[in-house]
Amino acid sequence: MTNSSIEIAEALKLTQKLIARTREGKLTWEATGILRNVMAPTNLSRATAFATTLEGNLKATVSIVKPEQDTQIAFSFVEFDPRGTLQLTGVEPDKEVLSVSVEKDPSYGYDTVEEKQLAGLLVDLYGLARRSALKIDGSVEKALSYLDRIAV
Amino acid sequence: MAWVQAKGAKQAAEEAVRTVRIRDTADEFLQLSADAKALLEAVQAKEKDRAVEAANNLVHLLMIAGGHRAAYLPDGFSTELCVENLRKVSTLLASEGFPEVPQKMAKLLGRCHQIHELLCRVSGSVQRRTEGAE
Repeated sequence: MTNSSIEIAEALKLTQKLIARTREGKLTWEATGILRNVMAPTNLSRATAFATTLEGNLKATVSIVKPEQDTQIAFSFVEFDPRGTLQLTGVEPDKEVLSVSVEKDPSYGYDTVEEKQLAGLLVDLYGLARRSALKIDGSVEKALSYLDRIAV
Repeated sequence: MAWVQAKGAKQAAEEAVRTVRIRDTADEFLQLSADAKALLEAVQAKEKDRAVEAANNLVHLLMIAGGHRAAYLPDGFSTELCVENLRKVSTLLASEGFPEVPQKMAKLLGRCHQIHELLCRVSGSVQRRTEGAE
């Protein structure tokens, strides 16, 4: 998939702000695209797609395209009908506002500086979204604090 | 009056130095674009050793030129990205040889074409500035 320079520029702006707000704890993410088992707890640690809702009807998603290869990362931004996603009459289908995908480490390099920058930001965003969805934000802090405590 | 004349002479000398440096930058990048063409030809001919040598040569020269000519290069040209891509080309060719999958070979050729085109554009853009300065 080839991204246009406009899409990359827009994705860059959105990603930077999503990273900042997620780091500030003002934005939470949830795992998507995994089948939830009603009989047993769902193993979220295997999730490779995470979404967050903005302003009620805007949703940003960051995901690994082919998890078994782990080479490409995607970002999409959709406008959805807040009345629901079920096939109810009158419910508008999702409108894809923006969709980009970049390779994490392309064999022969990136085409542009912006594309390379976007790939780096998406890797960061994916990591933050995963931590938020799995609610493991505090784990590193907890470990660091423990290691400091046992040092004395 | 003498002070005004001295100031004018100093400005003219600075401008002359700048013009010479811009011209040198254009010449240096013209040579680099010729080296990039040599890399492209080696890749098209599937001559691994020649291609690796050409890529390494370009990395070496571009790192030097990118450093001391940075002030004269057009906005939007990233020496770092160009060097990084050349390094990847060199490393993959040296370690794995030419890709057997046609799409990957097309990607490699596409990258070599892009580097050549980019360096030609930089040379042309800087050359236009020297013409504008005359």
